[in-house]
Amino acid sequence: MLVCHHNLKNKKRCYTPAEENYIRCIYNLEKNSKEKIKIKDLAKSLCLKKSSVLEMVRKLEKKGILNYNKKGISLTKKGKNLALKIIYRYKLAEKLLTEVLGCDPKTADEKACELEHIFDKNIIKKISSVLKNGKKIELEKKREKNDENKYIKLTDCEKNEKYIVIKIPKKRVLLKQLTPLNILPYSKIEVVEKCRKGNMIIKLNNCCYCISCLIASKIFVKRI
Amino acid sequence: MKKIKIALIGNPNVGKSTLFYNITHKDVIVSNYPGTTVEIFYGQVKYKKYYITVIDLPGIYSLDPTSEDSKVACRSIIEEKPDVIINVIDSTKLERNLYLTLQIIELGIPVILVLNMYDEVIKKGIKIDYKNLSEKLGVVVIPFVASKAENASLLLEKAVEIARKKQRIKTIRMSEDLEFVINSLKKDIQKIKEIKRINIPAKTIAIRLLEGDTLMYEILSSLPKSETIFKNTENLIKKIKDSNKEPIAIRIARERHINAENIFREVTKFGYEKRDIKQKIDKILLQNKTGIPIMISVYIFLILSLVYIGGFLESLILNFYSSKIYPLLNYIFSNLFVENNIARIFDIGINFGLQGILAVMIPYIFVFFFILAILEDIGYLPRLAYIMDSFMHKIGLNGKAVVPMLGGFGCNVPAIMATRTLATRRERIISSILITIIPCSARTAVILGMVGYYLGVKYAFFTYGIVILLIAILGIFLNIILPGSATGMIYELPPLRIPSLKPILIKTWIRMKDFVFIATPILILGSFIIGFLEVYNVLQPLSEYASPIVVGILGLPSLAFIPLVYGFIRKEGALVLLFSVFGTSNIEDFMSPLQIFVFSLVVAIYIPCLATVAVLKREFGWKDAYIIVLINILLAIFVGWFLSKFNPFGL
Repeated sequence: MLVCHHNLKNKKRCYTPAEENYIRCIYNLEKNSKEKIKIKDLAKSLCLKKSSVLEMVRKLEKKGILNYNKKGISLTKKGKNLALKIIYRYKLAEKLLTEVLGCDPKTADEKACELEHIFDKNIIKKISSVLKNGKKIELEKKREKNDENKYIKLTDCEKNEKYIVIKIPKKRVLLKQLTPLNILPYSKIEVVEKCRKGNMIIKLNNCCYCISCLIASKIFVKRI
Repeated sequence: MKKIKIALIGNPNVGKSTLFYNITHKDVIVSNYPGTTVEIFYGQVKYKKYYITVIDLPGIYSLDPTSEDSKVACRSIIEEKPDVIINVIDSTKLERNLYLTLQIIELGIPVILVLNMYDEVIKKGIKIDYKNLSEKLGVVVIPFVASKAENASLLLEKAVEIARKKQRIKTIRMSEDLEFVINSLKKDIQKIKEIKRINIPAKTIAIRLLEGDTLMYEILSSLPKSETIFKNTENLIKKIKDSNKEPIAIRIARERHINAENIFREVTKFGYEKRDIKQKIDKILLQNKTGIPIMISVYIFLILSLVYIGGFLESLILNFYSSKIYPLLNYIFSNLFVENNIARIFDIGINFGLQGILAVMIPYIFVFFFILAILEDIGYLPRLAYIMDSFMHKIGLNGKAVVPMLGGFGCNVPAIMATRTLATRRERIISSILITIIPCSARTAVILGMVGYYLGVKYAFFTYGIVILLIAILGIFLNIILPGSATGMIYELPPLRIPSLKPILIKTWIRMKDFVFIATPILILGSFIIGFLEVYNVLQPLSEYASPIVVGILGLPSLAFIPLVYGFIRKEGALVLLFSVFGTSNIEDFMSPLQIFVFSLVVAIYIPCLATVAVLKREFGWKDAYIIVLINILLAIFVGWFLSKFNPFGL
């Protein structure tokens, strides 16, 4: 609360974290359903009592964020803009936690809810610039990964050499056959025998498998 | 008396069926290639105060099925609700086998781990600390050698013991983020009350749904509210994929493999492994330069031994029969029945019928199944699959289909069932159509008993050449007209093994039993009917009806119609009844060489036998069975017409 108080004073932020959560929630509900939102729905998705929700809705109505009548709740234009801003901040916080700090999705989800409320314009600018750099780095990594010239098809491998699997086909039918045999990315395999057409025998975990060229051509490997 | 159900589960080719035979002493086919067992076998044993039902299942690599046979296995694990699972493991491939073990342990059913082929591990100088393994997995572990007929009662003792205890088994933990996702889905699943009916822990269901297990989806979809769970699953899968850049199925699989690897590393000590001669032989069998000539010589050896060994046995039995048994039976019948006609019916019915069965069928069928059993037990079939793979792509199949198709030379019925190991329906249909044209041992008996015996070996080879050519042409044609294309195969290569005589003889006998006990009465009945028709002079007029096709198109004697019709019931019946119809085993007197040639080829192709049609119907439904029969008939008429019209071999 201390942080919020500070925010309120210095940066002309006139919404408390609780209010922001309400706005975000209403926005999301509105997006997902065609009908107008009832107090009941809002209370359910926020896990709060109806009476306290009603109190908050009245408060937000006074601030011109939403309209509330018998049909239900709807955000005003001002409310929608605000909601978008809040959601952007939330996503930023989540990305910061997962991509830069390397948190797992569960903690990132929890902490991002708290973290987003302390962001102001300056912080947002800084974070987004860091993330953009991060994205750049990631893009370069991706380009490297996609550069299949560096990795060869299993059919182009040579006999009696060892390889690391880099990519396997994503098709369900094939994936189901490959996964139990440990033919997965990062697994090490040895090409035992190979015929001209590209059919081959590979060895891993002390087991030998014949693989048709049709499948081998979809597996990418790197020489050890 | 209490009832206990035990299911034998394990990777393909680890020796489940051998163990099943050890426990129940029930006849099952045992071989050295993955995919020998394609259906469920039940066996009963009494042990102390318990009636124990043992279930032998097709081999699987994971609980998520990839083909018909594995679907049957995975389904029955859930539907049969066994009290104990005996997880059979190939000890030489412990690490890979543990993947399935970890999946099975997640089911929460008491498990006994049988380290089969333990002698081979010791021979390789590897030590497995099975007590430690037992502690790590929380299940009973027993080293075992099923092929040496080791005492299976220890196994039953343990099974009874843990079935009574109903012990709960721990699940292996995965990494943090996966656990979070799994647990959140688990909570959703637990909200459905009906989930208890399935009898699988909610966490396991969650894991398998996230892996995209089709079987789990099928099972859950019958429950109410399953859609919300599927929706949640999809969302979670998407979420993990976004944050990890890797599908969750691959991640979970890897977690399991890592777990398996860690356990494997901790319990095994490696010794010095010497390269033995088997590996060198394997290289020769698989290399392009030597592998293809070896394959061709194996085929030629197979046909030659059928012709010569089968032919030798045939003439031996035929001589013995016509000199000793035939006169004896003839004498008995003519004395037994005063009326001449009835004696004649019996003579044709039993005497000619028996002669056809003993002399024609048994020698060829025995020789083929004996050689097939040797090839199977050596482990040559998967090597054949590898060598023939690229050719098989051209006919819309892959190397895996070689195994059922080669079995088709023995009998079409188990061969069509063995196509269950193939991944797609398209492959199953194509291979089944081709199998119906492959001359099974009954048809081989007709071909060799007629063409080989009367015309010579050269023409027997021609017959086979024509059939194989037809298979290739039809395969290429089917590959073009059927939608879809050939898929590749991943097929495990079992080690080469030195076959031992006793299991081979047992297997040959199990396969021949069907012929001896089922075919013999049917054939003798057929002979009786023919005898009846002949004696009362109905045979000739009956054949006249079909003469437009039999005589007009195929150029055969009109009487050949009767054996052809009967050949639908049993293919070898075509030859046996040919003897009965003409009343002699000297066919030469009644048919020209060309007619003999055409007749055997037509018999080989013209229609799948009754049992084959029945199995086609069961596997694919009436519509496809009819279409396959129609293809056969048209093909046979065309080939017969072509040969009799143009006589390309100058007969």
